[in-house]
Amino acid sequence: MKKRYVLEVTAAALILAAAGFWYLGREERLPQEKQSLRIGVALYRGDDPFINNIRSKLEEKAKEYEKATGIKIVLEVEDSKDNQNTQNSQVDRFLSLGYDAICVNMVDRSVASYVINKAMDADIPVVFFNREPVEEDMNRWERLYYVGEDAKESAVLQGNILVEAYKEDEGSLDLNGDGKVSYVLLEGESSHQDSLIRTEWSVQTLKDGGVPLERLTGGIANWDRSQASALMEQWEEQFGDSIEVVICNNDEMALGAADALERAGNTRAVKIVGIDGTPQGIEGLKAGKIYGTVQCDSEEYAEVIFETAVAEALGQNVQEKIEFQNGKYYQCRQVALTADTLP
Amino acid sequence: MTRRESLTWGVFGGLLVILYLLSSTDLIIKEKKVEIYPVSVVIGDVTDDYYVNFRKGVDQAADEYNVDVSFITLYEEDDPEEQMDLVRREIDDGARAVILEPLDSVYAMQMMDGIAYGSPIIILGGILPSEQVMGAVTTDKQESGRKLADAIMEENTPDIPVYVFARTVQYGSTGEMYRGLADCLTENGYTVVLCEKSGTDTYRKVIEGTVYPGNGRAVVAALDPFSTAEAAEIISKSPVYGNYISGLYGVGTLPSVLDQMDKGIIRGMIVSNEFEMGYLCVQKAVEAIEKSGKREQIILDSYYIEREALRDQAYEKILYPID
Repeated sequence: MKKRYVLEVTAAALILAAAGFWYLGREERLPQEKQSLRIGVALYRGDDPFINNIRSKLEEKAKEYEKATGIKIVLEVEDSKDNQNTQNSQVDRFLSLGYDAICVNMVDRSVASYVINKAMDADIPVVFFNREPVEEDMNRWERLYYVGEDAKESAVLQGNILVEAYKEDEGSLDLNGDGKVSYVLLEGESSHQDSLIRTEWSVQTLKDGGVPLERLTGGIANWDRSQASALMEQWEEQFGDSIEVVICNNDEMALGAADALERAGNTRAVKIVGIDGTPQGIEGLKAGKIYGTVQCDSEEYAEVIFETAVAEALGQNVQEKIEFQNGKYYQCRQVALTADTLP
Repeated sequence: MTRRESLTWGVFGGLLVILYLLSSTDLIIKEKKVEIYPVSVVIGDVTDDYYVNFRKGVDQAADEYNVDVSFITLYEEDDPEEQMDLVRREIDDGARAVILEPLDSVYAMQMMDGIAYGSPIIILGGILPSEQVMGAVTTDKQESGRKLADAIMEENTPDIPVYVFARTVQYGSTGEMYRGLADCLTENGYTVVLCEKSGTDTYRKVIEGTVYPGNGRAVVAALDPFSTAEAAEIISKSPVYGNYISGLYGVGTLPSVLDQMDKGIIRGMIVSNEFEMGYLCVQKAVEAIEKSGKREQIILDSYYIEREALRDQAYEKILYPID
């Protein structure tokens, strides 16, 4: 009898102890509510107006979120100054300091594997933006995302700006009335995924729209205003009044082309079109320096980057908040703008 | 296996174990643990756009002293209460020291008198008489104001009024600079008109006013980087305003503002070594955390420069520090 009693007490004690351990373990497994989040942002170049605009919007989003939720957001933004090694070190620093998420605008999108390897080891999610890593890299982990804009859509919208102008008045593009619209082309970096697509589809849209095109020349100005300006200056000397349209892969290069024409005293109504709709581009549109641009919704762009980083950092289901294509890709809205259609 | 062989194998085995312990564990060779100090920088602005060189200095020191820096901007402009709330939030959140650029020194003092924040505070500005403040890095703002006044007087006459642009001169370092400038100018017979920013077009209206008939030429002295940048942009975008403004004088080392000076829009500027300020603030914060330094106020020089100085080696490090 006594032996049975001892056994029963021991069994009860064991059950109680097991229950206690289970409860304690459960307490540990419950996600602790985070009161602050650290998000690292690595930019390929801080002086790129489009990227800088996204950066400002990200900072605004962080403040709005802090105010609304009381969760402190430390947003650390680093400028890689167009150097992949510098960016790698910045990412290393973010990871070693235990940031909750990182947002990376790659300098060289073809070497994203370094960032991905490190992030996977540290189990820290990555939101890439503007410069899309190759598909093989993106498919390596479920906590990788890309936010950008559809390059083909940008180009088609850009092409349509000119097609509509031509349909309204052929002479507005064919300035010398020779039956051809002679254009020059300013392209972004050859390594950027959007550059080739923008060029190809912009020209294709013009052709499809029935605009008789003649390409005079083209060159790579690396998204940069001063490089575009220098190229345009050469072309202005070389082709003079033959240039009727300047197609640019972004607004900065469009503004650079306008600067060159202004310096050369060219007052002909050469139509210059850009893409991005940066604040500087919109100013240029208002001032009549450029004829049209395609504006990317930078509010949405920044919001998606920020929301994704925060949701991942908090362990929430990102797909429930944002609709990613293939669970990874988000393309922001775009709209074509001319001085007449400015809001 | 002979006894000798067994002994040899045993020694080899032991060696392997020792090698493993040496290379893969810290049982024998202790790995030096690096302590990282979390430090927050609470500035007096809603954006860090005007702190480019200062941040470079902060980052440089952070790398050298193993500091994890959080750079905190305000939600609203000119809100000292919110600023001190942020200081408390940062310390509650684990900051071992806070570098503070107080918007209102008097209010900051009152708060520090009433609350023990628990972490040392380094002031970017004049030192405050509080035990919680362990150091300060600043320039002599009144002296800067006087230097600016001297430059204005050298190139202009007392019959031309001096419009002073500033976000606010009620408190903070801009207020000290204004007192230095205004005292010096009024003592020498100049008319000083204070134009504190009260709306988006305050400065534009003042500059436009100089063009109207009856009004004459004027000098503009901007006392903070924000006002300098805005005034320069207004003047540069008009073909007319430049004819009525005898000279625009400003403050800061912002690249866009330096560019405006290079273009001749800004006549001259007061600059200081903001990189060094950032560096020293972090250095003082680390000393305060480690309790190794003394409580002190470091006063850096300020300089009046004109366009030619942009390419002068003596100022190159101050204006364009390499990060």
